[in-house]
Amino acid sequence: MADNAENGNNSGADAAAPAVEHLNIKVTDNNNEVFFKIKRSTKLEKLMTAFCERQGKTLASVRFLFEGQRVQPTDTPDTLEMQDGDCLEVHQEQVGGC
Amino acid sequence: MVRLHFPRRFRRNTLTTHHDLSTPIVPSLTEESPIFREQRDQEGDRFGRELYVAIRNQHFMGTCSCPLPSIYTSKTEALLSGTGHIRFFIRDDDPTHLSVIQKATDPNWHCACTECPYWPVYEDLLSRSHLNKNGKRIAEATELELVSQSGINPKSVKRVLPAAFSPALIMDVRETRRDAKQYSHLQTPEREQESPASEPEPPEPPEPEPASSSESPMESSWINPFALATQALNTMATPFTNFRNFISGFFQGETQHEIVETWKVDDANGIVSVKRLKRHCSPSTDADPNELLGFSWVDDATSYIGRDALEHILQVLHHRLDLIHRSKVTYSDSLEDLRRSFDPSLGEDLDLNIAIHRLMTDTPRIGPVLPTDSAEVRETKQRDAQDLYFDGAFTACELIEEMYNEHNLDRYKALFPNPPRTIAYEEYAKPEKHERTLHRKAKIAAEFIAWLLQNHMDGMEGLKEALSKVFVDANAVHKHEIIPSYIKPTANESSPIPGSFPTGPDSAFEEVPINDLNVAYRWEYKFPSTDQPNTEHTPINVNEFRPILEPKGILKKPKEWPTPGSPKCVATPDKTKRLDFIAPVASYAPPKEIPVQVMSLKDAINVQWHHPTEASNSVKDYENDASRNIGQAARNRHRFAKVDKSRSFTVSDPTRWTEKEVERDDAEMGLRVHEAKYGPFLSDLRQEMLENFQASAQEQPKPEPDFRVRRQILQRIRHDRHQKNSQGARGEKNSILDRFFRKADREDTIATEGATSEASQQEPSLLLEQASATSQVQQSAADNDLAIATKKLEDLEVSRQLAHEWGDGIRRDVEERHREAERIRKEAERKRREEKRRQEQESRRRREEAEQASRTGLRAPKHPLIGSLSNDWEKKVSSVLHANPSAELAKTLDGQPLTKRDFVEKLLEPQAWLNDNVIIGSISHIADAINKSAGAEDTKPKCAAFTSYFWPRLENAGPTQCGRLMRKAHVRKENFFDIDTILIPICGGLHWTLAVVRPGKRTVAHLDSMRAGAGDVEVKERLLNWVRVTLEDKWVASEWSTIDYEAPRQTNGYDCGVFTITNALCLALGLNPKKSYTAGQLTLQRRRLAAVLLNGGFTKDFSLEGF
Repeated sequence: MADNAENGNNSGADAAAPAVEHLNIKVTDNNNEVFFKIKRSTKLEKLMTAFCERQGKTLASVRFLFEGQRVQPTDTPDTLEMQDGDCLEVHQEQVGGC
Repeated sequence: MVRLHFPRRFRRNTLTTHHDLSTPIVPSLTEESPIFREQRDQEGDRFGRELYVAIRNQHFMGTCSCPLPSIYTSKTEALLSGTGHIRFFIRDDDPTHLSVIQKATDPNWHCACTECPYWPVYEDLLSRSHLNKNGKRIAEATELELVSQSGINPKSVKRVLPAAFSPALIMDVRETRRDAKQYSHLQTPEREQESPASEPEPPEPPEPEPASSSESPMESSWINPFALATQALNTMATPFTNFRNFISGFFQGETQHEIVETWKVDDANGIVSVKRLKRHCSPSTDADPNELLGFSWVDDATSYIGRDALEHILQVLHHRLDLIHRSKVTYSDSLEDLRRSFDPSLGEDLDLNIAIHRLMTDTPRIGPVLPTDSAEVRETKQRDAQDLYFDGAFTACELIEEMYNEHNLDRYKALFPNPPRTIAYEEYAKPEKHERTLHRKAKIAAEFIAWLLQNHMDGMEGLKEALSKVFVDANAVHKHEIIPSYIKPTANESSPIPGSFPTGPDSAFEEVPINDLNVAYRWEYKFPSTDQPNTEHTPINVNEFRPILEPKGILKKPKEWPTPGSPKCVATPDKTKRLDFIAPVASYAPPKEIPVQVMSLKDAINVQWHHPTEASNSVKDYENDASRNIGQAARNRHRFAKVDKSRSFTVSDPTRWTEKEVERDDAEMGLRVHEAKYGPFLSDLRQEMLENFQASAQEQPKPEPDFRVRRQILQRIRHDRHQKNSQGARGEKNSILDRFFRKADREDTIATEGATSEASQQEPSLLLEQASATSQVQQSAADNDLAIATKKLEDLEVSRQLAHEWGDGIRRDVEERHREAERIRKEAERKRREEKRRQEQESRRRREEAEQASRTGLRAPKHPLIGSLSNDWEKKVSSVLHANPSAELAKTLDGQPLTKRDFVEKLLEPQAWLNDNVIIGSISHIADAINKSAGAEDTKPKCAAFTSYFWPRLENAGPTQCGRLMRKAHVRKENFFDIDTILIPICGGLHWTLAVVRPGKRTVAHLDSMRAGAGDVEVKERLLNWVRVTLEDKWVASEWSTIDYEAPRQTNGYDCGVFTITNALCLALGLNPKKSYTAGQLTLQRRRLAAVLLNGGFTKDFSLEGF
């Protein structure tokens, strides 16, 4: 089951490498992959603004998703239970009208 | 039938005229109109042929796809079996005698399309393709050949205009191929070679064609494709080699002509002409691109020009140098003074004095002596001119000695076994330190010699040819090319060099007058000036003082001459020399508009004239277009006709053309003379034709009846019948008046009769009197000899039958009433049935609704879902518009801040598209409100809302990878059946929809506002799959079903987000969306949603209680 599998992974990783202070996080939209090295306690806002600046986008027009969950600027890798090598997906703002 | 579509790319207008080809109107007109007769009498025997050529030129110059006019074998045939307004035929069985008649009764013009926009490039190609090797057209002969090749064959008569369809198309195409082949034969060198300047000779009569392909009339619907094919074949056949030459020359290098070969003086007019080799005709081997094939070294460099001539030149120049050196030169302010004051006893040379004076006036940087000049300035100028002359003459001597030195030639021979194309002379003849390079020397010497040649021969008149050769050699040295004097062609020059083009107009050699020679540097060839040349040429007197801004040199612009502060007054040379290029490719102007739609011939046939004026307007349009196009073409020609400045492009009266103009036009196949001569004539003729036929069309009987005439006819008929009836056949059943009535009924357009017929139904007695009176009058008028007794009997008979009629009329009336009653009864019955059906439908609908409600578990709201906002909230919502863009106006339950951008740009503007922040914020508020009112814990919700990121995750990563999102929404296997509603907003392809799972009812649904609530099957399948994966062992496939809800339909292109939220609200509340709101309320709903988001949920004023 999905929950179990993920929980299992998380707990396993936590147990294996609790001491890792820095994480390598991959940020990808469909075209680019950018790797960021970031502290566990650093707010992801830093990463998000860096990515947006690099790609020339505004923060308001993109959505950072971690496993489908929206990442808020105040989130940190710790709050999201991220691990080394995890991937943030960058999506365009969802807009629809017709 | 397969319809062929040919893109007519070079048409300017899609459709300008309509043609009424469907109704042949044959008015009585004379065979020839006065216009035609006048023109024919004026032209005489040549008329037919010239007119044909003019029409052909019109066709070629335009992109008219119609075939040329037919040529018939005899006048009889043309008259009897021909088609077209103008018909050509062969007179006296001689193909060169072409006559034309006008069949004024034929409304068909020879050309069906009428669109002949001018195509300059084609015209250019055309005019080039018919030049012979002297650049002249053998006008008559070629024209005759053209005429005869275009279908004059006793056995093949082509019809231009629509005839019946026949399967003989293949024959025609075959014939066309043969034509093209024949035409291509005309272009072969042998043919061209024959008689460069001989008198025109009649072409050989074409070979008789096999009988199988004879008498193949053309069929109407194939005219366009056929004509296009013909034209394409002709085009491909004729100017192909020419075109290839031109293109290859254009792209191969600097220029087509490089090497001057031989020299010739025409005894008749004394023009020195140069035979030069076209550059692209001298092939090179692959091994050594520098190798010049077909030429070998000469034994003696002077053999070509002549040692004597060279000696003579050197002698003269040395003499001049000596004179200058000994200061035996006199200067004066004007040539007259020089001549007057010349004293032979001083040992001076008048020619030299004049030459130096002219050099002074011709050289821009020196200029003539002005009256205002001081003595000092005057002296300086004279000395400068003298120095210039000395320098030029000295350098020329040096160069001549160097070039025609046997030693030098031997050295090059030793270096290159075969003559190369280019030699860098400086590398092999290193100058002394103080000396100029050969390159520089060559330039100065060439300049000097050119000046001598083109202006003042300075006592060397007899040496013009030799000097010209030296000049060209110097030019070659300067350009690092092989000196033409050094080489000679190995083979006989008449035999073509291998790989080159044949002799004739495609020859490797060409002759040009020496005056047309230009000297220019390579870069100038490569980058020709785009400036328009000054085309107006006014004669300039040699000593006339006129300000010029820029010096004009023959070789190159002087580089660092001190520029004068203001325009200087100098005498311009009596001949202006300029460097020019002919680049016809550059003159190609693509059409400005490419038509989108082209009228097919079939359409054209079906189009009727709407109004005569329309027709004439269309014709006028066409003519305006034509004249504009021709003017355009004339302007275009300006661009590449720079060399000849006297060229005039206006189509003026040909009778007043100068000899040169006539000659030039001759070289262009008489394009312009024919245009000028016959263009207006043809359009006049055509205009006349159209007018005639419109006029005659108007005279045709119209639907408006002529009352008087018809009434007479009617009376006549009536009278005859009356008589016939009364005289015999008493027992005949049809009475006269019956006929009378019926006829009157039928002819209701006739007012009087109509009135009578109306009266007949209303007042029979009156009618009776009238009728008897009428019959009496007619009787007495037309038939005097009938006896009165018979008449009375007749009257009796008439009245009896009238009474009978009257009875019939009453009977009819009664029947009519019966029918009316019946109709009313049926109508009532029908209405009753409809009512019943409506009631049934109504009840069925109600039943279905009830079923639907029980199935979906949805109900109507107790009071309207979307109510207006209170004033306070209106103010709060409006205040958002003036908020700080970066301020956080509200926060969703996820902690996502909402800013002014989200509110204004993504929600409040009436046509804004909603974004994910608004959708997720609203839907999570809905779920929260439901849960709160149900008192459910956070972890055990009654209504669960996913974010819109759930769906892409589900699609991309699969249902097993959504654990984090499901945990966040508190949806687990354990509590799945406790949840009433699961709301999943979906954003797919710029469209918001809502997926709804109701575990309690075991249904999944997808609400798409565009489909009025119905959903996508795939979405539902995916939902079911997700439920299945989530539930694992709790999944019972038979319990679950997909369902469609009813919802208002979205009819605009911006409200789907609002629909989605409102649908979610309805379903969370268990309401039927269709009964809860309408599409028109959604603008208000936008404001309500904004208020809810500002409020932080459906609390207080927005409580969901009570629905």
